[in-house]
Amino acid sequence: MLRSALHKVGPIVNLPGRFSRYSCVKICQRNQSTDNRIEVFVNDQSVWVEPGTTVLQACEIAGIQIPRFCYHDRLSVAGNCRMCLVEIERSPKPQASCAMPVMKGMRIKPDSDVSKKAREGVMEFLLANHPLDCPICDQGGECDLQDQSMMYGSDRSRFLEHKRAVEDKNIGPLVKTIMTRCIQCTRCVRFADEIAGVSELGTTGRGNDMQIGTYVEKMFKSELSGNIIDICPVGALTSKPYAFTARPWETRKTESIDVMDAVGSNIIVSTRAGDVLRILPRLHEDINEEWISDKTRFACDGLKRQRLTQPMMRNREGKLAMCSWEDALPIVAEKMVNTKAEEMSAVVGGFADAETLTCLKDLLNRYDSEGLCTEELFITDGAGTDLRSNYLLNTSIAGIEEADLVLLVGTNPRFEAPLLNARIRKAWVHNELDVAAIGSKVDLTYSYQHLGDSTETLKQIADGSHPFCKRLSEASRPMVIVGSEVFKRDDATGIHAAVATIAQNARLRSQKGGQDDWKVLNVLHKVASQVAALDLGYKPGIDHIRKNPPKLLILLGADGGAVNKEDLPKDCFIVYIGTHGDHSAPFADVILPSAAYTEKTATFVNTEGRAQQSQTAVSPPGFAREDWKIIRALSEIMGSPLPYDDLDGVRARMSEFSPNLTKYDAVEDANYFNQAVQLARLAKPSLLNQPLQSSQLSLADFYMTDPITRASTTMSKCVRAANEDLPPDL
Amino acid sequence: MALCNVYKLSSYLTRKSIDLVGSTRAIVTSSSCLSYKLVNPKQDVPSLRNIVDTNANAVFGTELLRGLGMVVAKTFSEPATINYPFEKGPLSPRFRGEHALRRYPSGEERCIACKLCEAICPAQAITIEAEEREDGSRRTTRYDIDMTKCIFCGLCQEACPVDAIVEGPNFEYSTETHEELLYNKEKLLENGDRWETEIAANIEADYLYR
Amino acid sequence: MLGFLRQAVTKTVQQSLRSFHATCVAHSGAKFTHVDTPENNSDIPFDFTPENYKRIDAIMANYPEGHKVAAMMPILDVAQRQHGWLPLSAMNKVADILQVPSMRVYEVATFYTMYNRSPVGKYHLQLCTTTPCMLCGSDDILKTIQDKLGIKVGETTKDKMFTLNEVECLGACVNAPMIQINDMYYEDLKPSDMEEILDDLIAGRAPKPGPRYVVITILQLDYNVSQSEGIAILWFKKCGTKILWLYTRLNSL
Repeated sequence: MLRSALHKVGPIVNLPGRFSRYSCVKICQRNQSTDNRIEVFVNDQSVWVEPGTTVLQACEIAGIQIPRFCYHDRLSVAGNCRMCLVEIERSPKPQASCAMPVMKGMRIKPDSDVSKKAREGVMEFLLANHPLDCPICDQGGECDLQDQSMMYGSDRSRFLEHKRAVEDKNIGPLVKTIMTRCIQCTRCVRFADEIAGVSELGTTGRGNDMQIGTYVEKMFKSELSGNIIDICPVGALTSKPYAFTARPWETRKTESIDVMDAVGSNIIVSTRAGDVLRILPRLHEDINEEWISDKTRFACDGLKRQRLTQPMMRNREGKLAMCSWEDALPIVAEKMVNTKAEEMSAVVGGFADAETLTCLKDLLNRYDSEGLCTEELFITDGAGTDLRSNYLLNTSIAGIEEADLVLLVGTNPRFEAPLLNARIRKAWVHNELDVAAIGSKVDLTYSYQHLGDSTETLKQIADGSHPFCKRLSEASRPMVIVGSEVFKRDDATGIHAAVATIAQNARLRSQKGGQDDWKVLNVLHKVASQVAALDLGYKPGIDHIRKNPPKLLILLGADGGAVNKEDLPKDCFIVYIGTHGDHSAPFADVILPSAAYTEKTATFVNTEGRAQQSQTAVSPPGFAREDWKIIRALSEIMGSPLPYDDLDGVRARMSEFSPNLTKYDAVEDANYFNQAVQLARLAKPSLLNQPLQSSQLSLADFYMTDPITRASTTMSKCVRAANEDLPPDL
Repeated sequence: MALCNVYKLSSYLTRKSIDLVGSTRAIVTSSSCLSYKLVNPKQDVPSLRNIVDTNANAVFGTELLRGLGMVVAKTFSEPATINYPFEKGPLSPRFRGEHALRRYPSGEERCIACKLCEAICPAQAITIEAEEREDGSRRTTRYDIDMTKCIFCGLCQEACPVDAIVEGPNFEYSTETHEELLYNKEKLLENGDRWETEIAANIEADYLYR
Repeated sequence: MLGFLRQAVTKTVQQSLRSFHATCVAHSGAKFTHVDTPENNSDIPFDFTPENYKRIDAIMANYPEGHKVAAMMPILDVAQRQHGWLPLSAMNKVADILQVPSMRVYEVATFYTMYNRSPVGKYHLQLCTTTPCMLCGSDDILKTIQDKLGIKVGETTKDKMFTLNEVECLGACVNAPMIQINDMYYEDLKPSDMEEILDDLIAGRAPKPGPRYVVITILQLDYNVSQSEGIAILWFKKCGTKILWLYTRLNSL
């Protein structure tokens, strides 16, 4: 208990977690030459490790897993569960290996009788107050405590005393707490403090009374809150929407990619009998590490509601009525054949995959139509979308950890890309990264220099007259991240030019400083389809259809609200291909139901330009079909079938357009920053006097942003809870 | 006389075959050959006395009379069979018959949807779906047993941590259609209510060995 | 007769109750989550007085830059002294001053039992009932207080004057039994002393803190008295004041 007292009083600093508190995490891995490694012996087997490695890590290098509860690779070391006790020669007592640094010639005996007995004893203590309600616990089957007590525990307990009971806490609609099961490992507290940056969890009381909670009943307000479910080694924190739904052994796991934002988090989709039950994170060190945002994790119930399951067509009364594919497709085909090329357009939304984009492009190009737009905006002047470096997050997400200064322009990464924000926070905590922002003043979970929200500031930084330029010039690896929301403004070209100039100046300076290929300019997109669409040559924004009012418009999941019935000519025939009856489906003339991201094997390119594949976890509901197949079928009925009819064929065609689209998990360096800046200047950019603002300011704005999240009941509960700042129910 | 000859021949052949078996066994293991036992009553060497005795028995039909005596005796003794639909034989407390879902004395169903029975069922006859009930407790929304898949191994009742699913003493539940043997939760709970007294007694009787 | 019957019944009941509870419940019973009440919620404003702000500045000055958070415990104490106990809004105020998340303050305040997170009376009676005090008769003192004030352990009198609590060792075993009333120790208590102290407090007088009997130790063992049991009577004398008789085991000296 003394330990927890020290934990509380000792090293707490002004802002949630900077410098001193987590310094122990910084296990010096960089800049270590191999010469100063030291030799230790694990079970008499020699292992060479860096100095500063812990005993637990040394054992892991030797291939021996030490049981642990409180220790977590990505969190600071707490050393309070005592499960990792091992015997070390000439040490009087077993040592907590997670907190013990190795010493030269140390002989570690993780498999000795002393170690085994120590673990057995600790396990007995942990179970003294654990309720053993595994049959009704959702963690059952994937529980660290269950597994480790089977492996290392004794078969009986000597405790006859009453077990302790702790009141459950209500921390919001996502995380269910059964605090009696808690073993006080404090992983969730450390996660909230260090990774999420929302210090709302803590330990109250002491001794046998110690408990985890918020003290005052309130919601755990974090966009990453779901991750505490994963890191909880017992069933104290479980998923509320998934409560009692399934056991891990009955679900099928499919490795896939998330599309809720442009980060492209790696996920595992758990399914049973054609139902997506839950979504879990999958490890990808360069993207999401092992976390995912709450939207990624909990929006999956939106995949079952408001779904389009059958083609629909307007009947004589002008109402949408169910029909068959055989009825719907010929009508669309006939319309398309009879429409002039310049009167044909397509708008794609945020969930479109690269395969479908390829097919749609081929189809329209075949009829000489160039009306291919994306719903999300970007600049078209200057270099526009011709140079990839203009629209990518060039530094890459993992690159943030090497940066020493980040300038955010018109973006709120906390809600637009929570995992990118977590990366910035990680670098801010561990690498003393400095952050500055132009735009809305929001809580980003780390402190930053707010430079105001006027475009004037941007201009001054670009021409070098702003005081911040000094800081920028001192940085050796600066980053400028511009949010895609600024491209909605009328002066998007001007802002992009200013940002590109700032970035180019900083880049040239950092090159002089010896940082050869350090890229500064970064664009943070909001939707998963945008980079692939731009790679394939889609025009950003719907200016094209404003200028050339179409007679036939194909909306490929375009539910962002950019296209409205009022903007279109009265006689325009609208075909909606999508998954949800959301914004655009109600005014379509024909609805063709398609597959959501869990229902197709498809390619998505994240904001770094990294192509990744989603996998089919379940089949599309009802008569819905994969999007690219719908377009392929349409082309056949139109009389000129596209020259491919399987996924390999589409992908071969896709790599003809842009080879990077099929180089999975690779990030190709984009270049030509110089030329991009020169071209941008040619466009004679101007800046308006409007302040730069973000549309997602508070947590309530985070949850419902697209058709899937708008259909999700969990997300609507979250919005309510975040607005009321009071959890609706336990 | 002919009868006598047939008898002699048969007993000779029997002995011969026993010798044969014995000798072949001897090649394999000598000790088992020595331990070979003749279980039939030992046949004496035919002697005049034996032949006379046997023939006298045959002529006077004593075996017939003895058989008749036994028939008469059995007619008045207790029968070995039972009059099945009206009478039933004894059942072990561990008898594994028709399934039932039990309730607590308060009327609350015992099953907590832990799905251990579903997991252990070797025939995959059990299907469970669960959900949070209004009061927040963990309950099944669906509990199906396909009795035509079930192999009555009893693993489900061994796996159950709350003695909810049990195989009761009932074995008379034949139906005319297959569908009737696809039990759902209502049917199983109803079984439990009907058989609770017997099931509880069986569990009570067996508690030392659980 | 009736008395005997009652005794017998109580005894049996007690014995049978004992069998229900094999062990005592191993927690303090205090609440470690906040529950909003009319007198304790986050909407009640709290601010330090100007004098206390000066004190806080002085406390903060003791700690180097970057480690100001170490001033948390003394500042919480200042808050408790100002308000009599430590309401939620005071903890929030301390968090503001130290610029830490309020949860960090809650953690500290719930860890230490001397921060009173619920209202206490004007006089907080903290009676030590740990082994040495118990052996020297703290149970009698407890009974005296309970009888006199009509409250049980953990309760406050209706006039909000007294709150009674049992506490663990306060480090004055040499003069056991003892009680701490607010910041003062009263030692070497006998039930009559306790009554006297309470009478003084009720009357608004300040009773003299410290040991009730001044003791001068004369190391002189008198083996004449009950020597067979190894018990010696030591008497320590002080001219002009009461004499305290102290019985102690020989082998403990």
